[in-house]
Amino acid sequence: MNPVPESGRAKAGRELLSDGVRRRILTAILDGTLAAGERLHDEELIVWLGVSRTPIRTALERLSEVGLVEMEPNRFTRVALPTHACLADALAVYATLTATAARTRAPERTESDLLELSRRVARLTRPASTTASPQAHGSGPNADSSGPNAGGWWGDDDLRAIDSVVGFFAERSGNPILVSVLREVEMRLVFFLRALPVPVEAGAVASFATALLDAASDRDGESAAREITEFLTRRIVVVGGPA
Amino acid sequence: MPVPISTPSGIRRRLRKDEVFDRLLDAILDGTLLPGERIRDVDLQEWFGVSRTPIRLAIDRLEELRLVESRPNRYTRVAEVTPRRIPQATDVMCALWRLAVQLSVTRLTDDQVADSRARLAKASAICRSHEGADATGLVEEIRHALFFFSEHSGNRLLAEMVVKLGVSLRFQASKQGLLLDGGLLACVFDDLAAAVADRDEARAAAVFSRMENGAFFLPAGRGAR
Repeated sequence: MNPVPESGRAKAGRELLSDGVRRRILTAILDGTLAAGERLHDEELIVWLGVSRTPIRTALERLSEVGLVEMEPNRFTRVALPTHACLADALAVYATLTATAARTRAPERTESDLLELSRRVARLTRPASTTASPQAHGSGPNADSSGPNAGGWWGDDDLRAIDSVVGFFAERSGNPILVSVLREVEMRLVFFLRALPVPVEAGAVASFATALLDAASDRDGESAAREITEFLTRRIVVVGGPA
Repeated sequence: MPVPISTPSGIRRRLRKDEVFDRLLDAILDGTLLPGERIRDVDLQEWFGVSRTPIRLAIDRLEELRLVESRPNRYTRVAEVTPRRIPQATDVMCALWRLAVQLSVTRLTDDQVADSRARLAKASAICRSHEGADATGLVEEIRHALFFFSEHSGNRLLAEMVVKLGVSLRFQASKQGLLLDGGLLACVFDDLAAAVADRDEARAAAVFSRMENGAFFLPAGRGAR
């Protein structure tokens, strides 16, 4: 994956322009300004972004490479329509990557690793925060947002907090390829989880986080991996179920 | 095209940018462009006789495949070949294969099980007789045996990621040479074949734990040729 594009610096070459355009469209897709399945018309994007067609097409092509935009030449370009099957696929890939990292890294965790993980778990399980199980609120964290994805259950804070715990060992793996592959999967997950109404079993987040912390404390890689896989592939209830 | 780049479902219309992509890919893999070599849009425009847009698109896709790397306003170059990258990539690959095996072992038809076992047997045989640093033929058989699982996993994202990561892994391996522990790999494939025969997903997945942390590289294999 590219690092965060640094547009606006020095010469505004066409590739930098399309980086900026890509980032703006990506943000709009992820925050719901552009809804799942919404048609993307060049003329509207030209007006909205104030740039010509070429960088827009380049940006859209690149977003289609990561599955966030669907393009059918001469027919349509639209924001991808996430399905529960796609979400289940992405969760499974995310699970195998993070669980494998936990399996190999948990046995060699240091005291400061454990301290940091317990801090993150505490942040995740604090009852009054928005990072608790979404069902505890009776409605999703996005419920009062006026965006088109208002029905989603997962807010940015929830996702970030969960990711910080699930991805802890991957982040500490010192493997930049793992980190960049994970980032690509996470981007899809954020998109899917915000566009689809996916509630989490009440209390599942908290009990998972506690169990992972126990496994890390025991330096038990197999248990850590199992907890992550269970949580991601069985606890996140996929409404409508995967195909 | 030397490597399977297209997504399994990819019935894409062949556009000009795809041709630029294919030609650039070939140039990188066959050594016309060397690892670490700078690539400049203007040179490529002249070389391919096309405008800048299809070239930028091709470069972006190659960057996602980790065959090209760039820093904005500084450089765009063919990816450098670094010994560290191979075990890093294989660790990620093993995590993906573990899932692929778990998902597919219980889904395979009897014919597919037989097919998979034949591929694993072939990979095992070539690993057992493997010697030296030229692992090209061996990597090919391993790919043949293991990509089978992701293709039959029913998880499209997984299949796509295995192919994408496989491209950069082959690039790194072909430029550096590999000293692989053929004996260990042969045992791994034998055990995997047995687990596939029994459709035992837990045992099949556990096989990949033995390949983690670059365990199947001989010490000198981590160094460049």
